[in-house]
Amino acid sequence: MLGTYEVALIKISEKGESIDFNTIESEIKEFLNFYVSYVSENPMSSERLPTIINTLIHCFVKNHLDKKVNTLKITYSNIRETEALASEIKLILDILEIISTEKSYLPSECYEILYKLRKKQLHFLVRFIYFERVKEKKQNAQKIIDQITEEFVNYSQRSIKGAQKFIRNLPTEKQDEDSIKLMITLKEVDKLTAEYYKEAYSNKDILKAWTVMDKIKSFLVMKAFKENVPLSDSLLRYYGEEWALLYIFAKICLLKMEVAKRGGLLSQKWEREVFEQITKSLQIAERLFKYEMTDTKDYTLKIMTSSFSGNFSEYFIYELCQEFFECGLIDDKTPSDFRDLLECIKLVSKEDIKLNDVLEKGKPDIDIHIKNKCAIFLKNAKIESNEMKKIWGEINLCNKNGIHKIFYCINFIKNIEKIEYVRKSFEKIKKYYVDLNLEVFDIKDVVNVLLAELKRSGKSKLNFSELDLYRVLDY
Amino acid sequence: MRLRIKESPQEIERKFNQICRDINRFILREDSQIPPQDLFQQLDDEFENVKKKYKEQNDEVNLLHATHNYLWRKSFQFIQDAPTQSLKLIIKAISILLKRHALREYNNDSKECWGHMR
Repeated sequence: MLGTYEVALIKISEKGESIDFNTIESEIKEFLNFYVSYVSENPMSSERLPTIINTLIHCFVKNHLDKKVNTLKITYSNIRETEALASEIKLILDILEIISTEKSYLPSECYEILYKLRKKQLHFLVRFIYFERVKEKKQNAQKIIDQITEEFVNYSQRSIKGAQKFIRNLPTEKQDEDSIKLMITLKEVDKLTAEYYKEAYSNKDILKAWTVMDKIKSFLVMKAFKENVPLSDSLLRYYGEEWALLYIFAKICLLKMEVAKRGGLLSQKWEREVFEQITKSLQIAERLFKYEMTDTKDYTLKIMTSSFSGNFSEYFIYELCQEFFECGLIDDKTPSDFRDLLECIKLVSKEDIKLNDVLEKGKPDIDIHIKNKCAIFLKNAKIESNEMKKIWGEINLCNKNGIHKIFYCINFIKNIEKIEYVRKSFEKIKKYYVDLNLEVFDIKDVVNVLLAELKRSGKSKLNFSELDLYRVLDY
Repeated sequence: MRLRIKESPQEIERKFNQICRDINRFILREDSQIPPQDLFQQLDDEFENVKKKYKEQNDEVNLLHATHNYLWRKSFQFIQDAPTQSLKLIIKAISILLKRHALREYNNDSKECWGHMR
């Protein structure tokens, strides 16, 4: 049975959007401060009071603080003032600590708001440093960035921990709802993004930042493609573009280092001068980016044809298939998602595994054809509408030749903003060719699984980093 | 000389509590309704009487208790058309409840503390 308190709180929560919190903000702050000092001196074991306070805080956080942070415009002069807002949220977190909120989403929500606030400040400061000319101001801004990013990482971690606690207390059927999956995915992305910002803007280790960005992209691919988490196009595009900016920046920096190094070794004065000019120009280009490179470690640039990665990738996967045929294991430890594919490879004779097999002249070849078993197509480039037409052609060819099991391995990292398009296109194909057994994988996962399975079967470890391998393969 | 006997809180708040119960009846209906304005007018008038008496008796504890109950009911008067005002009253009511608890501890979750709200 509901009491009048509960009725009032339900009604107030329903009216949350029409409450003008700005006019009563001072009363609320006063009340929150009073509550904190009161509870420490007057323990009250009532179960209803914390529930009431929790509901009131929720209404305030959702309808006021969150909106306030979302609409906040940060300037150099108000950057310190925004600390008042951060203090207000921290005060609420202190209260939530006092009242047991195990089952509440509020602590996670508050940490997420703090995270958003710090992110806004960080974006402003990065922009500020980019345009500012006064060295001292730049240095001050950098000091704030260093401090902010530390907190930033902490808030993102607490935000996800709070959400995990909240989910654990939900009924099992609720835990699998799309909205819950999306919420936890976005918090994971926040956590990785905080790590990325720390490397890029505080530690200024661009190559490490780029590695974190790789992790973010792989995570987004896994969530969007495998787990069907409805991530927005703008979110996917943001990370795709940020990755591209870092990639180009890192290349310019490495080129600058190489030109400077090689220039110093030249014998002719005029040649050295030309190289010095090139170095200076690259330095100017470097400054057009919002990043800084402080350490280049042992990275180097290589020149190769644009088709090399794709061709090498095909060859490499083909070799892995051959190896798996020789010594791979099919048992209860075989990853279930890949069992079908691995069984196809294992249960044929070695000669039946063909690379670039041409079935009909003038028609597309099958990248890896496992005769009488399946066709494996590898798509390492961006998938545009022309490529989709080609895929229809490949599937039609397989269908005509009685190949009913087809695996597509797609480079989703390169197609991160097209995941939905790819998914829908393959759904359409599956509806059209109902008799075909069609499966789509991320190409990186296929290589990863094959390497892991070979390791499991006793093959010696690679003597280079897997990350370097993926870079050469362009994953 | 007539001997003046001090009224007990039950006597002082009898009418006031009856009005509170009448207001509750509207709020706690299944289709929860806002009580009529004249009931709030009665609540205002009766609270003034209660307040006056407790002030005369210098009874801060019961004055705070009654004030909390008054503000709490009063918040329903504005909940529909002026929710900001309503929330302000709710916050004030809880603050007063806590102040009252600090002066003399309520038996937690007992009728004494929450009973009037039901």
